[in-house]
Amino acid sequence: MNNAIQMPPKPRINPALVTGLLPFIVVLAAWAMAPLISDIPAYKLPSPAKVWGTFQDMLLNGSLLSEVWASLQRLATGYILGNLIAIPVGLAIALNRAVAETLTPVLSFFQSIAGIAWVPLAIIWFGVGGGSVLFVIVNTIFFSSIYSTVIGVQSIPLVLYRAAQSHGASRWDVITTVVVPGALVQILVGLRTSMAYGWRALVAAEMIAGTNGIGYMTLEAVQWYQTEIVVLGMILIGVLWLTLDRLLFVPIERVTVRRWGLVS
Amino acid sequence: MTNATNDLSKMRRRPMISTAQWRGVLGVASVLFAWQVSVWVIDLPAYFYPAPRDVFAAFIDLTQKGILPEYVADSAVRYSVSVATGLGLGLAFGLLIGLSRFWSRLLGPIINFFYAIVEVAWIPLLVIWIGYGFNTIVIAIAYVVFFPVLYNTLTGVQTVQHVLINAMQTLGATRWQVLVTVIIPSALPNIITGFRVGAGFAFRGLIFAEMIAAGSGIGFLIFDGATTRQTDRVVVGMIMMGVMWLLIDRLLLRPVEQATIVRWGLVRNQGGN
Amino acid sequence: MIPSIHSAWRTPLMTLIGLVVVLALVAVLGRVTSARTLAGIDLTGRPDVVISLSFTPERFHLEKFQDVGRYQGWSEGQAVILSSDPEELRGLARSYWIGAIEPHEVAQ
Repeated sequence: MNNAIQMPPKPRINPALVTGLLPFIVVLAAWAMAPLISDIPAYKLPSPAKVWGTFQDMLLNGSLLSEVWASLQRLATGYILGNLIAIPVGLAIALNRAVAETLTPVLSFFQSIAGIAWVPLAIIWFGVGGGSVLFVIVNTIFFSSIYSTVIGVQSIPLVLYRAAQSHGASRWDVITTVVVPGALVQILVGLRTSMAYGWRALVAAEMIAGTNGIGYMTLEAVQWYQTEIVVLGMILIGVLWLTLDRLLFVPIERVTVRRWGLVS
Repeated sequence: MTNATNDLSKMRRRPMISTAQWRGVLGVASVLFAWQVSVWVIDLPAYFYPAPRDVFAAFIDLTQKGILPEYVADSAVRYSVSVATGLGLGLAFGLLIGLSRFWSRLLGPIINFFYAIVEVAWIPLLVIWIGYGFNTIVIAIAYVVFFPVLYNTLTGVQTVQHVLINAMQTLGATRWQVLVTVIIPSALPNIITGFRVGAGFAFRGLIFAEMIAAGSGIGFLIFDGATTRQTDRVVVGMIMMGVMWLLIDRLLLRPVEQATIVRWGLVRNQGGN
Repeated sequence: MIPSIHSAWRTPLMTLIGLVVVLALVAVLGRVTSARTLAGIDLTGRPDVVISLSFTPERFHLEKFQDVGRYQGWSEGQAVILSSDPEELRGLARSYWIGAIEPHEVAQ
């Protein structure tokens, strides 16, 4: 196919890269030309230039960084706190099969309503603001991770317990050599899932109950018809999630695949 | 693969209600009891910390007034339409991208880009473009389902055993026949997994979307209850949300997953991985 | 192998069928009772009606009243709607939370 095109040899240009960029170029071009070819009002579709200009303004006056920092801070706190409590408690619950079976339906129920559903309750209890948002994030992460942990431990085959015990393992040995490694995959998967839910919970909670942060910034702009801020917010949310995912979970996945030969 | 746990669970199927289920009931009852105890201990007004009795009364009230059934129906309709749309589109694009290197190169990067923009982030813009209501919600939620279905379909298509495709082609099958008889059935477990993941995110997303962009539905009930300081209704909404997910998961998602894996899993194992 | 397929599909299939049956029953019941509820109303024009409820209507109900016609207000367990749309009225009459619908005599 490419042989028909006579060009000086340039090994760096990857045809896949070019085709991949094409849709982006098309979208950007359509976006830029929209005011010329249609009569969509500017408040509905701000031009790329306007969005870029807003980005520069907000970056320079520091408001952008402060919103992003507020959100990330909240996310980190909620994520660490939630998982730090959930995983040990989950392990403790799951060690006793009877307790695990008793609590699994309850945990499953709370996991299904974790996060967003608690926002209005949080507003009643803590009012609008960062406290409510943090509560919702911790809630989401906690119930998500604890459920993963308990399921993880419960899915360890009984054979392994018996094997360890037949070798004379004490209860503590069983925990460290059977339970924790056995549940580890599910716990790691839970770390990723809880982050996915936690991120959505962060943005959503900030929209409804926040007073700062990216989510708040994005929804608030709707009231003032500042669509350029809405678009900016969306792009930021995308970029941030990509960064988070790359930073945190690609390494985790590599470890999981390398050690256990699994694909999540 | 014989496994002690599997044999045990087969034996447990004899009694109507297993020990694990009884324990589960005990767990739920304990939580309800703990809730009531906490109400006595905390001793705050019902609009702040409602007791089980208040919540139950609100449930009856909402049902008698016809509000709850209609809200549940609204949410269910929105959910079904969104999920079906997302499933269809995800499946179509997953097959397209999985089977054609051209389309994979063309659409891959931009799909990856939009995947990073979570559905929650789209709702403000959709509200500006389309306004509140059914269409906005369906677009946002179908968007959620689209990506997991697409990526999992992709995996499923890419891991089809070429032996099977070659075999069909030696027998003179057309491309369509290969698609329908080999590729789709082989990828079905992956597709169903993607569907399940998407369905989960979609449900949460729906409740959120209803809080911001709808005037009815369970999400709206939860939000509206807080606005009018009717905390008992808020809790009714939260419980209904859990119940709805329970029904969706137990009565639809898991059985479908079981059926496909039970059926096609056997085929997979025989063909060798 | 065949029994295992059937048992796996049984639950969702039965649920779906059960759901359809329940919804069908509700719809049929709604239509039957709505005919009875509207027995005394002249549906050829745009009748003025009085709707009785066993509870105080909330915004949810008021919005529905406003869809039916010109909602005049609520007092003593009754809501008055003038110039109601017959189709909307029929829809409203199917709701189980409606007490009674009677023609409204405009007091002169």
